Amino acid sequence: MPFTDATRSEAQRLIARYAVARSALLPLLHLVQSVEGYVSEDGIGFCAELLGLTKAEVGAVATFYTMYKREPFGDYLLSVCTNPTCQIAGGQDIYDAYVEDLGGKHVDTDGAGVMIEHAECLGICDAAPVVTINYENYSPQSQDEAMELLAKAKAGDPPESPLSKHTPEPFSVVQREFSGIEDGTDEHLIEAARLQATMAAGPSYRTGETSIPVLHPGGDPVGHGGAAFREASNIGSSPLRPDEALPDAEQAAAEAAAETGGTEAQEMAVQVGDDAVEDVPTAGDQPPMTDEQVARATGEPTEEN
Amino acid sequence: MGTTGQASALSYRYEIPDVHEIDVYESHHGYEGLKKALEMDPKDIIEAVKESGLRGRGGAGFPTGLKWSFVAQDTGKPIYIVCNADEGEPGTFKDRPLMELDPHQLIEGMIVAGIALNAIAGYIYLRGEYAHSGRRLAKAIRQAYDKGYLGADVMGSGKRYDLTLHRAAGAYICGEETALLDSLEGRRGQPRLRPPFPATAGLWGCPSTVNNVESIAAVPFILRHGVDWWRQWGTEKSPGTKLVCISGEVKNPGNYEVALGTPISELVEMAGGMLDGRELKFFCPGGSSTPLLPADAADTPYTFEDIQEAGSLLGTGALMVYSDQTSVVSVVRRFTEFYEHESCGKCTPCREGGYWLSQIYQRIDTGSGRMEDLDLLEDLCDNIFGRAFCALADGMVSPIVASLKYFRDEYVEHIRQGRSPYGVEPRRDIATVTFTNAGGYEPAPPAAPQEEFDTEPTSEPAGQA
Repeated sequence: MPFTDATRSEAQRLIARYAVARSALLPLLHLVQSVEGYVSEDGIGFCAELLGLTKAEVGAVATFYTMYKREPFGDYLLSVCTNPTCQIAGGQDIYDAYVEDLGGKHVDTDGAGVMIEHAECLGICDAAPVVTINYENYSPQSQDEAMELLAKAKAGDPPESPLSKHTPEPFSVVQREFSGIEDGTDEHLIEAARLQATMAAGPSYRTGETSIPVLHPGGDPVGHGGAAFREASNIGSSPLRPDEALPDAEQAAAEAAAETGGTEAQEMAVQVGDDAVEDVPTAGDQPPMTDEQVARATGEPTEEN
Repeated sequence: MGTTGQASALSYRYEIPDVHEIDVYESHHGYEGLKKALEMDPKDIIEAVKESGLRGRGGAGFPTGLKWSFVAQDTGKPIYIVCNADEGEPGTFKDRPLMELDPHQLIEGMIVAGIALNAIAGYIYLRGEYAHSGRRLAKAIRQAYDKGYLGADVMGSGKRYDLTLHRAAGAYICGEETALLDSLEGRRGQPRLRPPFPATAGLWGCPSTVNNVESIAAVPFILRHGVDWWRQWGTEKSPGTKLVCISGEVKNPGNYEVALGTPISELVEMAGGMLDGRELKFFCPGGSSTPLLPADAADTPYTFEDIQEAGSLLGTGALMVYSDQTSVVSVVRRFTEFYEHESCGKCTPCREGGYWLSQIYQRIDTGSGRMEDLDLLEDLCDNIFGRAFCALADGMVSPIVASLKYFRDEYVEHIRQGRSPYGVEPRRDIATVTFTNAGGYEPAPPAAPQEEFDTEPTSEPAGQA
């Protein structure tokens, strides 16, 4: 089990910072990368379990953003900007030389481990051509200087950035910082999220891609995007908020909020429009599930398996 | 029209050593805009921002005060302020120095915005790659909490306001405000159907406003110094100063704060002029998504309305300058590949169109182009522009349409020769930046002596009439 109790409790702190749990997904994926070095299958499962999402939902998000890596590579990520201003200044040549140096590959796991990537504009065009090592900026003024950056990164000893005056930390350390777990404002944010989530008309969770509830063809009783309507599980301060991470007083407040969870689903349905209300499945009027559906929902093997 | 040329307002603290530390910031009139805001009626703050004519600095130029006045105050739901710090447009690097050098300025603006809109909390959605900005902001937020500017009791006013730094994960589309909200909710960043607008149903279905870093940072200045002070620069429709990031083939690329209304040719001169032996050929006035303009449009005043009249947009204020030795086809090819990569995939014209466009460009650039490709490009652009959910698709075709309009002859020549008629050797000498501070660029020298800004303003404070 790669994720320790300590990581789990940190993840729960991140989640508790947001009034709606799912908002912590991007920070959580950074946290996963800090542990695994990339977004692993286990990491996707870890986020899905903590947030009450499916692995597919988490995977869809993880693959959308370029900063989440899908393979392990080691300590240093080199991004080469190839947008016009950097291209004119030789960005493409640097990228090509890097890939050639790695024998046509983008990952080199000997030594410290490096990954080379094409980057879109890195937002420091006055320093073109721009190369970043773990998101610290460099402006190599010659091909030799650029190759030296790669060589030093491979050797695990990247130089200090002349721009930020910071020496790049290993990828896992940087990802930990990006998760925000070390920002030091947790206590305030957790309290703020608790207050927001327990408001009478507080923040609400939206299912699926649109705000219009959709029933799957074939009478699947589960709403589009998950079981949110049936269980009201992801709305506001839902039971899926990490109760065990909350101190006793907050626990009581969360429980009180959870009791009203059932009606929040209805409120949200009203909010999306009167026409849609009739279509919202509730526990009462759902068609009974077939045995197969029950098995699928509960994860029990069916006879077919 | 007000004064033009270089100006010093938002950037005036950039050169003060360690101004990212709260003590130094406070000793340079830091958090005084917030004090002013707490003395004012929230409605008056919005009114002052409206009167100042501040227009959104994220690209669209929508009046900030008007945007704030749309935020629904009577829903019983919490109100959220979201700062769009997802700076990702090629050529744009104006928010990064602000956040690295003077992060408290943004935090103060976020609190003032919160007071003005009766908001319960703010979120800074920071571009993930901006590691140094993140470090500085995180520390600044921690300091602001410790000093009581944030938290349960903002400066003893009894109001609670919290601020979260939310680091994103690399997607240009998340600069679009509804895609940003989706991303902040832990989803793929894809734009939402509007209405409902964020002002009524934004973050988590609650009334919200999404503003650019520069827009938010300007508000404390406007409150402290007054509307007239802000309107001393710029024009009636585009008042104030603008952080302009000048890059490309100029001697001193970098960040310059200028009065709106300054001619573009003057901006190029400000950045040291063109590199030796090169002449201005074309430029993108406001980032890659704004239609490029030929050299003869260089006298256009840098305002929202004048640039629009010249056939382009002011955008984010990213002036990218290219010379007569650069191939317009290669530059536009790179832009196209950028948009192909950054299309979120929601709308077919943008997702598939971007792929087709970049294939055609690859063909032309590598010597397999056909003359009919030019008509094909135009036809494709015509079927993409305005046919997608958000403006990314429009940004994708803008440089193509504009370059075909002004440089069709060069395209023809490129196709005929099978390569660019211009040199394609990389030119390292373009990089002439000097690193004089931790922010990584040489800030523009203040146009006025600093003392002028450190003294109390002479004009009446806004909203106190």
